[in-house]
Amino acid sequence: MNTKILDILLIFPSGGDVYHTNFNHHLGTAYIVAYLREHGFLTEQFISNKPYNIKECVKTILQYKPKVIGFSVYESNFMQSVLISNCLKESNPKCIIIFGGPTPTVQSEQILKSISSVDICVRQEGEETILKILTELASVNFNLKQVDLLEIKGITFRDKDRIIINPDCNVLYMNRDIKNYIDRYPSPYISNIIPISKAFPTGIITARGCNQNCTYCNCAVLSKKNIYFHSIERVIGELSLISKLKKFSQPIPIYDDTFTIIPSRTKRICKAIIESDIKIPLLCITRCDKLDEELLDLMKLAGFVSIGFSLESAVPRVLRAIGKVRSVDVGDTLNYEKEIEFIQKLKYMTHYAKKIGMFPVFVSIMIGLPGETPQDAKKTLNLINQLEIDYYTHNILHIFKGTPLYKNHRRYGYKLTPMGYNNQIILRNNFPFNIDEIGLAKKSTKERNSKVMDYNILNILSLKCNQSNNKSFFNNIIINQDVIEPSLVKWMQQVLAINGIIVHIYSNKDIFLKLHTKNEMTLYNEYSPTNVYECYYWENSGNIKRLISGRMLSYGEEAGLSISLRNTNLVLEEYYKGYDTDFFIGVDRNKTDTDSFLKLLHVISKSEDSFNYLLERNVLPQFQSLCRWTMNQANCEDMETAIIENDNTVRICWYSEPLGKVGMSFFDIKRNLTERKRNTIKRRRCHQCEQKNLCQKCIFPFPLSAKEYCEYKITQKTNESANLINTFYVLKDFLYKPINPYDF
Amino acid sequence: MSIEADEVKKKSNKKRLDKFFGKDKANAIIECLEDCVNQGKTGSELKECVKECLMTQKGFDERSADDSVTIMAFITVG
Repeated sequence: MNTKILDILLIFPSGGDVYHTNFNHHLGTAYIVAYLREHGFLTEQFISNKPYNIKECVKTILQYKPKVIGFSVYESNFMQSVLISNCLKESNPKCIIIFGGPTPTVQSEQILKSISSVDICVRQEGEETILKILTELASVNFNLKQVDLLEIKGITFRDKDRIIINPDCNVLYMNRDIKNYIDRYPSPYISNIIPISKAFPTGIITARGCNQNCTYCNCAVLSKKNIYFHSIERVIGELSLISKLKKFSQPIPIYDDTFTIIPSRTKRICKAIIESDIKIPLLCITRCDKLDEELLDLMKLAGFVSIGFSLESAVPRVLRAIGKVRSVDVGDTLNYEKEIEFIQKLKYMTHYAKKIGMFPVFVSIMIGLPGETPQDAKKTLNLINQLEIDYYTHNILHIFKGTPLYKNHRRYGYKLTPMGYNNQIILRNNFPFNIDEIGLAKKSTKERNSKVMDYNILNILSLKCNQSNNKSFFNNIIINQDVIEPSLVKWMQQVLAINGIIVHIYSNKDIFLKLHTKNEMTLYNEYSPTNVYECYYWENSGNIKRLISGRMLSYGEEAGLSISLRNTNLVLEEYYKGYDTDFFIGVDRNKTDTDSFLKLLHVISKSEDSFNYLLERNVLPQFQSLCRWTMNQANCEDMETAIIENDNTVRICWYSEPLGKVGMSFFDIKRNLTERKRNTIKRRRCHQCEQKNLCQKCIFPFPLSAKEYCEYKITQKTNESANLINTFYVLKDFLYKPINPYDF
Repeated sequence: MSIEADEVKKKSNKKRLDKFFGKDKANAIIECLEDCVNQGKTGSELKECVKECLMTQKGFDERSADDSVTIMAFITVG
């Protein structure tokens, strides 16, 4: 922890997938840190791998004692940024808060109107503008009221009740004739802001901006269709430093909007890499019409092991409508010759990249583009199925404010609505046709990512504990009611981890279809601390109750799992027969279930080598009651997951009675639980029991009575076998959570 | 349906690990897991222990799920 008082702390809250509960390195933010430090300001980026809720996060941030706090804000991390910002301002009203990044660049006025904790929005490139703000602030002892903000270009700010939008800074544009002007911004790696060990996945850039005409994209909008290049010497200097790492687990991404936009420059970079004998595996995404075999061969020699191409659509008319190949305003709008060529080139270049041994070669597409019909979208998927690629990314069009498409969206039949009165920043897009009918092609990343998510959900529903240690919030919340009220979201802001997982279980498919959109909008309108919102609905089939992933309705069977809940006794019968029980959860509904589970524990403990016994058998199902037979591995101790029922009561265990209500603090719920446990232990006289140090002392042992539970615990030694079963879920993790993205 | 369903149905933990990682890596994972269990590790500590063991004793790279999803997010946005 830095003990000095910081001039500015920059924060990039990661925005919302299950693995990102932390604050990672961010290239754009690191550039600003490096530049400000060079000018003598005490600057840090907030980096942390720990999970936090909003309050704990703010507490940690304030330990840096920053005078100014800056956020890098995208739509994906907008809610988290606002919640942290609001809480910071509440805790320290003197702290000056700045929002910068893509979303404030195009929505600065709306942000300042609706988010009172934000003082200033910085638009476009941040280096010069933030330097100017800090210089002015430092001259008046960081008293914002004394700064003449009207003099600072590139910002939007609040002056009493008015929002003032100053002219753009345009520093890069004004200096466009100075060769490699952006070299004046120090390298985040050479300045030691980002350790080289984090070059993956943080990556590098060799240029900023894009000059292409894609109507849906905000890269060209943000750079006003200009590209600013680093010198080749600078690129080589940065790569040389990174190459000292020697061992690379993954290729280092080059995050240029289009790395090969000027093929001759790309060639020079590749030749310089080869001449400098730099050995780094590299990756980039580019346009197929901006490279040829010769360049790809050279890139391969220079270390590019992987390449991605953006296709968007395989229909020439659609490519023409989005300006992918050439501006929509240029030439005969009904002539698709160049678009046909583009598609042919993509087919050839993906083939060629595979031929020369690149791996993985991937393509990105977008569904719901202007003028696209369901048949057009299916044509794109058909082409994907024919390509020699390792995977593809299946994106759904999101219309960003500020893009040419945003201005013309009505012409194409889109209906954009803000998520709600409180959140006008994030827009929901209604498409002219039902994009959910399209499904996925083969090798979709969505399919694999969905499976990883479903596997996590399986663990959560079984109330597995992964990250204990005296926390003051839940990592996951299971909503077992159909409607999400605003009060529930407000409560989650207090008790749920930033980017924690919300699992919503609907009563049935019809209710899911009826209420899902409204609930999702409530989460956005009230500012949920997480975007990770996974929906399931119940489906009954004979004696098996299944939880069906809502994703399967959108993307078909491949994009989700049905998780089956069945009596433990019946699940184990299938397990013994050698059937696949990976996605079953065994539920104890009667004593036979409990007996059958204890029999499994007995078999394991009696086997000659328990470890090998489990190793050589099928992957085990999950069990909802496993924790009671273990020691120190129960949700009632770690409180990782809360279950919210229809009447807004909160439970910690599927078998427990309510321990609180939505609205109560985490500590009050914990206190109720502790009290309950203390009373149970007292009533059962656990302190007199010889098993007292080996017993989980389950307070909700249904279907057993307390007496039966005690008898079982005394007569049967369960801990070792039960803990071993938990151990084997680690193997399951290895199987289902890919540790190499290229397994996708 | 289930993950990688058809190909790996009715196979043991060991066989599935072999299939996903190859025999050598699968054996390394199992050895580390057994070591860590013998050290009395459980829960999140167990997972950390296995990861550490794979990296320090078995020469594995730090190919974490975090990284994989980060790059997937990059690719998706791109």
